[in-house]
Amino acid sequence: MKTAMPRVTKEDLRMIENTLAGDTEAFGELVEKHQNRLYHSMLRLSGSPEEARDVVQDTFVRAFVKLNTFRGTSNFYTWLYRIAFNTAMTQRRRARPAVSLEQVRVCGGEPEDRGEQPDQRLAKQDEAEQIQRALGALAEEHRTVLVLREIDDFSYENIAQILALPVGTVRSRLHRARMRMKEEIERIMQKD
Amino acid sequence: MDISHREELISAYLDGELSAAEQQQVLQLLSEDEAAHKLFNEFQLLRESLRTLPAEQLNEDFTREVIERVKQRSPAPLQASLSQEVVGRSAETPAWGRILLWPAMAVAAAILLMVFYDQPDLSQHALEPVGGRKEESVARLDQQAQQSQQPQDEAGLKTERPTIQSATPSPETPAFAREDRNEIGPQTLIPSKAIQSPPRPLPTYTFAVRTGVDLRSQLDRILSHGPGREAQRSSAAKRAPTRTRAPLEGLVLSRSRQSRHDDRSTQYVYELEGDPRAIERSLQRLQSTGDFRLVSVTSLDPVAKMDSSSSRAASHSDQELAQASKAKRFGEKHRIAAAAPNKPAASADRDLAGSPRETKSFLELPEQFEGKGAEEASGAEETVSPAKSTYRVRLILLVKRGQEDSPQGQKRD
Repeated sequence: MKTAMPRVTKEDLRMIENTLAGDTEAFGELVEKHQNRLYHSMLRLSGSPEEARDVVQDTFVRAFVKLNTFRGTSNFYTWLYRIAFNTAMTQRRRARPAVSLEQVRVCGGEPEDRGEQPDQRLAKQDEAEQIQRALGALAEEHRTVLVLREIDDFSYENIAQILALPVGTVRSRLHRARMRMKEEIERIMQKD
Repeated sequence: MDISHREELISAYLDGELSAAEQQQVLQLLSEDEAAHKLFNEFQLLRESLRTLPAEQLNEDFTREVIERVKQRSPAPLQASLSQEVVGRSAETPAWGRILLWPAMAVAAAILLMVFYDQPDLSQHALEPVGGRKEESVARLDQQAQQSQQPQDEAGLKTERPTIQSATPSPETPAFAREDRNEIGPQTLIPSKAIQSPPRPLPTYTFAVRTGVDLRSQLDRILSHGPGREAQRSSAAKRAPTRTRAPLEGLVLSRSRQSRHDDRSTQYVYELEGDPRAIERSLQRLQSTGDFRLVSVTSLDPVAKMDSSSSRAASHSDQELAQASKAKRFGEKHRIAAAAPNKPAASADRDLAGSPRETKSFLELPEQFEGKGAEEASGAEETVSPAKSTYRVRLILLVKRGQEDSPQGQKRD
């Protein structure tokens, strides 16, 4: 069985301690360290760059306010992710998505340039768009669990903690999410 | 095995989340069943597709924007923590927060009082709450102290006089006792300017363990609470000290006792509250008595900021408080010596038998505290009344049953 994520790292611990001691710049370091990973994940969940950005910003502000409640018993990113996930869910409940997740482009910056030919890059971009569309077509519960596992590489135990579900449910839900995702990709490829 | 279950196993196998038996099952399935193998490959491809999605990044302004928003936030995390958990009220606490907080604290205080008064007959010995009968108890204890002749203890250490809570510290009184007498306890806990607050509503009693009594008495004093046991205390006082032991000082908030069936010892858990340096020294001395084993100490949280009488102290105080808060926030546990609470019985007994104890720092004190301690150890005269934070500390003691059950420190075995 996969082991749970390690506890808070020394680097995070130092930054948290300094923040709690009143050093706001240290919190800036924490933000810088985790912002892109969190944003990437939230973007995959919401499909909207603006929404993801707002969620991440609100998450860090909430994390700052609640930092004294962080006990260091879990990985800091897991703790942060839980706040982000709850923030995202709250925002979604307040305002239903203005953009269809299926329609969403593969947002953000340019795909990484690894010395590929332009046509290769284009093909990759197409593929990424298809994946994002398939992801957007999933039910929220399936998309969430898939993003947590495949994008964030959380263990079942961490996913269970974040979603407040039994580990067994995570396992079965992940299986169903993969099956649905596979079907969606096939459907999109046929359509295109 | 139905198809859905097979697929679920393959999915979990990809994630490395199967038991050894299930893994074997899947490996066999993959080698025998082509459809299963195909599904596994598809899951792998899907993973690769998701993990190679372009990494999105936020622009450079993002961090700055977050920090700007954060700076507008008041109170800062530390202040928020203090206002809610320590002081009960601060300038930053909104009015509704105070309204909600007080009933909760009153209930907590009532519960604590009930617990204190409900204690069994453990307070057989000189146990002195700071409040109320302070002067009387001080006089009596000082009188008892006069009667004892400062014998040498087994370790050859000079006996400390059993002075507790006397109004004017005598030269014989240990330095840490002088400090604590003057600065710890509800009557002397003065909110600092930074934290204007009413007195903490918790019913806190300062207990100081007199020197020269047996282990059980010491433990009982630590464990016992509440006034109104004068008769027991005076009878305890008659059992004059025969042997010096180190004082353990602190405000006892709670205790629990748990027998260990695997060996002849009992585990006690206390929560103490007090000046970290005094607790630190007390723990070191108790550890050196060899009668029981201090298994672990947990710094729970800093609970109050004490009055300071000098600018130097005041400037240190904020730092101390900030640093002290770390212990709480990360629930740091500091293991003592080599033993863990679940240490095998035989090993624990060996420890209890009392080889010379390694003296080490039990609490992770801020540097200022450590520096101060060193100064005092070298005999430097204290000219400044130090600013203090109090710590709430959880102690886990392992006590040999023979000693624990035996009054006056006479071992049964």
